[in-house]
Amino acid sequence: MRRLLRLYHLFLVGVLGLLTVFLVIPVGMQVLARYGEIVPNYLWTEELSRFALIWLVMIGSAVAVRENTNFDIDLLPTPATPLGTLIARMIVRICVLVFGLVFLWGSLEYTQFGLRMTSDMSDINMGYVYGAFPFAAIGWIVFTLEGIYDAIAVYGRSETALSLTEVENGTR
Amino acid sequence: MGPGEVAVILLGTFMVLLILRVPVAFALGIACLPPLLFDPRVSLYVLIDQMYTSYNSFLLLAVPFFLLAANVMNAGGITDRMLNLSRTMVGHFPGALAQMNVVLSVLFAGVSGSATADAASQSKIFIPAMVKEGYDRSFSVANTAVSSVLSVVIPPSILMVIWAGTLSISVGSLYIGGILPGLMLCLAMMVTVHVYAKVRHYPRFARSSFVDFLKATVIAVPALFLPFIIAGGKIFGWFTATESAAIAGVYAIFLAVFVFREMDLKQLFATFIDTGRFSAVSLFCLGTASVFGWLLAYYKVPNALLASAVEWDMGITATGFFIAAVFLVVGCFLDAIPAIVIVGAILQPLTAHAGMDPLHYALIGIVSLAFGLVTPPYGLCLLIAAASAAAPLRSVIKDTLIQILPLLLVLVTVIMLPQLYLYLPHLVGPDLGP
Amino acid sequence: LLLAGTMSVQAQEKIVLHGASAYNKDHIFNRSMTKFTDLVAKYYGKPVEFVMHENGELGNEAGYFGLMTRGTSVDFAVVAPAHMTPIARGAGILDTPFLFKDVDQWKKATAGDAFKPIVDDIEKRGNVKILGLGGGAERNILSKKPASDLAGLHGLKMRVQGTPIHARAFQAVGIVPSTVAYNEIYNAIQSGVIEALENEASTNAQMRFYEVAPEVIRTRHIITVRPLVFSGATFERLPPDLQAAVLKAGEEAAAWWRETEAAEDAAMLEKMAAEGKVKLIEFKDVEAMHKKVQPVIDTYAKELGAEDVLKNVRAIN
Ligand code: NA
Ligand code: NA
Repeated sequence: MRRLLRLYHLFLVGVLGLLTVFLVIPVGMQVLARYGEIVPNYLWTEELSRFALIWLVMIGSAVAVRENTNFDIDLLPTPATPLGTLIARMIVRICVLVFGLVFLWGSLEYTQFGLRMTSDMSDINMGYVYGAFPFAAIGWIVFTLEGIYDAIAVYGRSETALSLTEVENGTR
Repeated sequence: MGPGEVAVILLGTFMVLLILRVPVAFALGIACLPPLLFDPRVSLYVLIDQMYTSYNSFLLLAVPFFLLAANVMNAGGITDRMLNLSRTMVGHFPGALAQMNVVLSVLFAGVSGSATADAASQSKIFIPAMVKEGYDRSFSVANTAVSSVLSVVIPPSILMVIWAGTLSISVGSLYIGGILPGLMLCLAMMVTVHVYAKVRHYPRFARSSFVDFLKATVIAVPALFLPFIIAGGKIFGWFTATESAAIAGVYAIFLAVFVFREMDLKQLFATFIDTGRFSAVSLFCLGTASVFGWLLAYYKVPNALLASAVEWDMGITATGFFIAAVFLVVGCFLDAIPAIVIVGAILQPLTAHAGMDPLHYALIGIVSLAFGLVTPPYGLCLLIAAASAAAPLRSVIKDTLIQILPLLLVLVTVIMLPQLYLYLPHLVGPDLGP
Repeated sequence: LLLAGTMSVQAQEKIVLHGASAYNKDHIFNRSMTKFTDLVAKYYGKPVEFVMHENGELGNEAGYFGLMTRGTSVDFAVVAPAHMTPIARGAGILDTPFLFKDVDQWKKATAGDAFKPIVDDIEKRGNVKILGLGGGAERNILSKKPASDLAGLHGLKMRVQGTPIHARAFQAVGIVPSTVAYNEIYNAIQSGVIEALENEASTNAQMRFYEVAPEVIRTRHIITVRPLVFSGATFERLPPDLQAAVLKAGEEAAAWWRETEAAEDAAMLEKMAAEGKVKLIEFKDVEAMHKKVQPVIDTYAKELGAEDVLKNVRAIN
């Protein structure tokens, strides 16, 4: 299971890289189109980069759930005892889990609706664009469940270092 | 649900969740759930649709593009060459690197109106370099974050275009009006940096010989085309700000891989991954924050809170302080663009009642909202800079507040001295006037 | 649950309808919607409350349309046809450049039944009611440099709206269409990335495009058609006498809107010229331009399956 999650994480990180490459291409074509006769004036370039950005942000948010890198506010002192830490971590995880489940439900409906729509310029079925939302929600949920499992396991061993760090995940 | 109830639910839930250390983006989203789930007038559709709308923006692409350029410059040896050159030029001044951080934000502001892109890309370039030279990490983070807000005050600024469109005043005169406050903010920052450098004994380098300078220049020549491309795109009208970011990224890759040969394809792909990863977390908050703002607007919360202010019959200066306070508070919870659209229009009758020049109102509003980019809890530029340096927020908050204080003084002068700040825009042309 | 129960009781007692606009109070869209709400209140005669969301505080027209098709949050709004195309492709024909020869033809088409097949299609696919067709502003080319004939427009780098038909139509007359995000237009023209855009006088005034592109080349390539849309789900929920009031008020408000916008638009352009903000240039080749684009429109109408509508419009003289 753990290996599977690690592979899935690696897969998502790879996709992030590819999407970033993909962002640059249409914008480059957009500039070329304005100056050269080389590339015909593609109007879908702008649209395509925007859609790629949506996927990038959503996948990135799921990756960040596993890596614990979504921005949070740490101005208040953190609990010192293992039990306090467990409770604090569990509250955060459960909040994200609940939000993820609600979001998954809402975004599936949203995507279904999008299947009946096509984009303005390139006639892409909007389901492919909106699909980024439930896709990310599944990532949040899965990685949060993993985090909950880890938090409990670590508490069982009464250690202080709780969640996996990026280095442990072998991604950097 | 009435506006009062919604205000309490949204803001209350958000604050409690932040205290519990729920990530900002999720805290904003969860705070929105009670009305979305239980009030039949709005539905969950709004949550996803507003997120879709906020990410579906061409302008946001500036963030990954400038970040890509910065990451490639770091990994491909371009940053080092340029920092070497700059050291031979200004390294003997106290706090030179921090001063450059400020000045480059002014130049960046002249190209792009995106503070987020500035914070993200300069964090990658400056923070590691400053820490290496011996600056405190917290100072470096604060310096980078605070200086990035110049991007929205100094023209061209997307924020100003949106202000002008929403409140129907001249973009041209707003651009001209933004120059002086921008330079004053820059000056205040440079003075602060100077004092810091003296007090904390930040490193200075021996004055370089002319030969060293020439050597550094020759080594840096190919890299120097990079700022030229970005600036030239703007000055000669080759491409838009967002496009210039992409072109800069592509040129940086070309330099790093083919000219300096400090990067292979594997490293290049790792750079793309890092760019994608950090862009995503930087932009993710925008989505749920926009739902948050949407709900405040739908329930007319700002109207309910601000409606009675007109009856206070304040003078121009008092009105100025009041609107600055409102925007400073709003900036802690909303992004600048929704703040303008939702609150800017509501405050406008108040300023008209006081007889305030619309351009004066705009300058106070823009400068106040600029602070919102670095004031927690929702200060995206500060969050980005801190995350980029892997520094806990609590370790950088003190230096950030210290660096903001002198800027608040500039805001006070903008409020109290409209004659000074409106002189230039009024001089340039009555036909540009509002 | 108790809370939700009380709320629905309250909802039954007092009907509240939310309208949305991306523009400010003075804009013709907002005034037409106010006209509409006043008329509804008058014809209904019983208490009904309207909440207006202005200045785009609830997002853009594409967003309002999505909300109305889903029957949530926004109950009525003006939506440019271009924003309806993801759900009902045929709507694109309403926004096609060089569709009308003159204002007279536009008036007869929008007041009459020429667009009925398209309107029906939008209503069905989007689950909305189209209460009436408004608009009436002429869209012209706003440029940095003057031009008075087709030769003068050749090679002009112009920002066009993000729908394929606009690009194709302007390409057919020798203009180089370009993609620029709406909020980047001002800066892009100022720095010379593009030389022109096309828009109507009211938007030109509000967004201050004239500061950077003062030449108004009067090609009159579009006379705007803007539907006043009402949410289908909301409509179903209303009592029958309010439904009737909404339909009647919508039709009358649209008629008022057509008269007002067409007149005001021309007056505003004259006023801006008198104030020295813009320079008006009569375009000599309007007819030639119109003719050149017709084959493109034929193809487009065929793609959309809107040949009947095109025939209806052309039949009006
Ligand atoms: Na900076
Ligand atoms: Na700027």
